[in-house]
Amino acid sequence: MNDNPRQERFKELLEKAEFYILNQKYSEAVKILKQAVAMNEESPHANYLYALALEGSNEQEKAKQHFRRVLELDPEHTEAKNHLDRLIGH
Amino acid sequence: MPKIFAVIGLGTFGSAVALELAKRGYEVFACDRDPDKIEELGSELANAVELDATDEKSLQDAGLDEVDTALVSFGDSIADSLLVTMLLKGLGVKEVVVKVADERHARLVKRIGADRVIFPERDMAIRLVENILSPDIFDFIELSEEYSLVEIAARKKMLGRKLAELHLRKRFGVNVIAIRSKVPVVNKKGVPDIEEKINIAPGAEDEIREGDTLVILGRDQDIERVKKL
Repeated sequence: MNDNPRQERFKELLEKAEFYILNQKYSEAVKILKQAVAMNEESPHANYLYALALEGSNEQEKAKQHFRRVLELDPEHTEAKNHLDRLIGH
Repeated sequence: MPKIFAVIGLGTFGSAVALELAKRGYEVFACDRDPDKIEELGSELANAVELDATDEKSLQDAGLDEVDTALVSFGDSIADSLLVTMLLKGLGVKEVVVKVADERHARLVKRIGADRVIFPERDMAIRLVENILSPDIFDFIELSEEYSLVEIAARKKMLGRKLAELHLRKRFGVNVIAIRSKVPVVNKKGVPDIEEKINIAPGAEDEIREGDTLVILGRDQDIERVKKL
């Protein structure tokens, strides 16, 4: 992503999503993060927030998928690893 | 006086039980006739004992007549499982729990005095099937032929409402015994995260929030009706 308005829009979406997550409005966060991830599929943070919101909405299978995606993009992402372990059951 | 335990048979299940008891601070005699298993667990268990549990004198010499509860956990030999159960009851062990392989094994071992039988593979299989068939069932424990304990995702209609407003006991005859919530936090690294918190015996004024799962106790047919909400 190299154009400023697009970057700004992406940043806004993530901020809005974080706000919704921190207020336990996971399904609202899911809607926003779907757009954010579509804008930048390679962003570990966007994928992480999306996975978190999906987990919060009890969509466990999709959450696992996106936590796995985070670990593909950033194998050292501790939070994604912990959540995936918990969802898979260990 | 804290209870003393014995685990006889240190396969996957037996060793997991022995380790968990030790982790919780209990004295546990972990016994097996295989010296390799004793060596493997010896660093984590203070009383890992190599013995042939089918020999009554060996059980006595190891002090197993003094334990409060013994778990007999043999994977392959029903005959050995029956013999050891009988010997332990003969020695005066107060409670003998036996891991069984099938219904026939369970009937035989109860007849000779086992205080409790457990069927972990069957029980876990039932729980797993419930979860596979209904992804919104997070867990399922069959309590009897009629009653179960089920953890289900909160339905959309429940969100934002207090437990008392749902009238689940009155409408469906089920009891909500816990609510598990996904509480958002910011972790030490400043990253948003979710922590699971469980509210046991929730109050009437407790609100159902997004991400909550309800642990419900009730008749199977009543739980089915709640699932359809």
